[in-house]
Amino acid sequence: MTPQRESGDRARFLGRLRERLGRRPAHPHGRPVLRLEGEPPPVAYATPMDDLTMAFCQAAAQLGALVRRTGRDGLPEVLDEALALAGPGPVALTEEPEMAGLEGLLKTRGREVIRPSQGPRAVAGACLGITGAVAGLARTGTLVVDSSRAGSRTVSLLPPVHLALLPATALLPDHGALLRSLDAAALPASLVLITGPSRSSDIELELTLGVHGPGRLLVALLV
Amino acid sequence: MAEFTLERTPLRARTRAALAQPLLRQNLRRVTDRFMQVRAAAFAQLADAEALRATARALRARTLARLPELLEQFADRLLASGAHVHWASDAASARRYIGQVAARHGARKVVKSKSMASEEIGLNRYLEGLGVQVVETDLGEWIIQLADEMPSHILAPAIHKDRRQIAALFGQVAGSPLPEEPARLTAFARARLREEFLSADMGISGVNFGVAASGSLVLVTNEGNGRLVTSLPRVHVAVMGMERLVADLAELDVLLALLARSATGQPLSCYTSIITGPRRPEEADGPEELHVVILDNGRSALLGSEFQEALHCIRCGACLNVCPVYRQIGGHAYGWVYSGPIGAVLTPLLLPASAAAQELPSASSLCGACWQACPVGIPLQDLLLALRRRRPPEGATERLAWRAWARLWASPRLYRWSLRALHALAPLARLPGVGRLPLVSRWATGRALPPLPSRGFRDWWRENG
Repeated sequence: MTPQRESGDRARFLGRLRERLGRRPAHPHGRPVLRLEGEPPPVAYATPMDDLTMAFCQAAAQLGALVRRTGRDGLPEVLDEALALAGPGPVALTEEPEMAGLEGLLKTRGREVIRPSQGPRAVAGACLGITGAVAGLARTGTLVVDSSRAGSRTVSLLPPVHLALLPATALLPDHGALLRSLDAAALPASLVLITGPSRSSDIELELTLGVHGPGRLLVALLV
Repeated sequence: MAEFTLERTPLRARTRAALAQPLLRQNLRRVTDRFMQVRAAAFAQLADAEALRATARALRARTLARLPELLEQFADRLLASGAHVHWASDAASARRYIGQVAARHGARKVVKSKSMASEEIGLNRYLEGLGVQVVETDLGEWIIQLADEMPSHILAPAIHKDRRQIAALFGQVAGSPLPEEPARLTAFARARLREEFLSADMGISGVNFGVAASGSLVLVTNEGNGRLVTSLPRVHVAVMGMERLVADLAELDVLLALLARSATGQPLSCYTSIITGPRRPEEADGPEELHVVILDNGRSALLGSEFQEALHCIRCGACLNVCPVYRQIGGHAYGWVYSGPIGAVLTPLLLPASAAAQELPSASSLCGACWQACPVGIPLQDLLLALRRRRPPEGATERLAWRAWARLWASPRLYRWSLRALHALAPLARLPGVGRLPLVSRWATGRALPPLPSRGFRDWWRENG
């Protein structure tokens, strides 16, 4: 038997809404509401975006992320930088194809490798989490991580340092370009837009990084 | 846990209490000034902010006009993605359902990310009554949960506390004194709450936007607690006000561009999660069950009324920061979940049976700064005025006085006569004690009578006009 996954009275709930909405047009206050047909036009920004790579680097750096433009052969160097930031401890990797080479690099550096299947406690014990990114948003310096592809939501979240491998070819101008290109019927269980390290200003408005998510974010922008 | 003061303490007493706290007022000024400043900078990045606001308002209006159809689509997509859906007509139905989910999973501990809808239905108290421990995980929300208080600002809930007080609160949790440094205190909260996340049985979140076309939940946080709440526990329950819907991802483009800009002056918040259904086979983590509670709780009464537009709100808090009343008294004085201008509109509408709630629209100068700041262009001052209009005058004397005044000034002759009479009687108002007379004192307290010119405008106009 399949469990009943809907509860409460949908018909009565929506019937009440329909009855109320039928009463009268709703905007007697303020200026007349703009008439809008179809999809809203893309959000227009004040500055143009010619060089996506340059824009991404600037925006991410402004948020406190470290961006390293590199070829595949430069990856060991970026990895060493991330390991130095993270200090000693195991390293969590996602299940993405680009992790294949990294596992060997980490082993030769004497690092234990954690996989998401070992569970959140193991991932939380890693000093560094490494993920791919399905897109980068140039205007905001944002990384887009797909949980289905990564096989995990936590590798980019639990360790105190996050290293993301972002192919420069995956750069898009902004979140609008991303959202408008997605297929609503084929979304992963979790798609997360990561814009800089975790931050909070809840104590006396003083900015602190890494309150729940990673406090350090390193991006290997693969050109 | 702390209780709402709306029904227990009169508005005037609540405002007096707020005005008597120098730290609250000083920090309110800082936080609201800062938010206004960064918001202005973030809006300057848009090519035409006014056009975008008009578009956003049109989108919200269009969504509400089609709300039944969109909700139907949203629920169908959610079910198809493997999520559970509960239609909650009122707070009790929502609480009961969530309590049952907790009981079925034998949940002992719940971690929560900030959700105003869950505060609205009194969820924490209900779950605690069932023996479930509830831990707020937004840093500011955790601080006030430890202090057993209410949020003073929707985005900076603990802004009325200084580092010394926070260190004392955390020190009690730690069992030893902690340094009074925000970075060290934050690190302590991270370590402490991390353990709560890993051991919690259930996560409860709000929803910033629901996407009808995909059945997705969009959650926006800066700290990452929203991601932890929706990734670690084996059950995730999302509480969503029924109006928090967008039709599709293109509409989300517009509203996301406005939400973080209006709230914290960021182009995007640190983490924007788009969640579609529970964990899938290819994922090693994420909740096994996802429950979405769609909440009416009085909202449908606004549909088809002159107040429908109050449901356009996307909860950014921009109207709070610019409001000359909120900037003085902060969130506590409003007495319920929603504060500032939008709170003064929503509270009386969502709590129609509460006489105390009907007083809130008076806590406004009607200056319209809230409307100018609102990213979806809600004409808040018009709604406040309309709410005042529908509130009956207090007592027979006041009713009689207003009626007499209306009669008097409906006649040009009596109007002229009344002005002359007022001019002659004006010096009496300066006599000591007049301002303390019953009825008069309600207007006179805290105000000074401006100096009167030696003759009236009409006389002056006859000679010089």
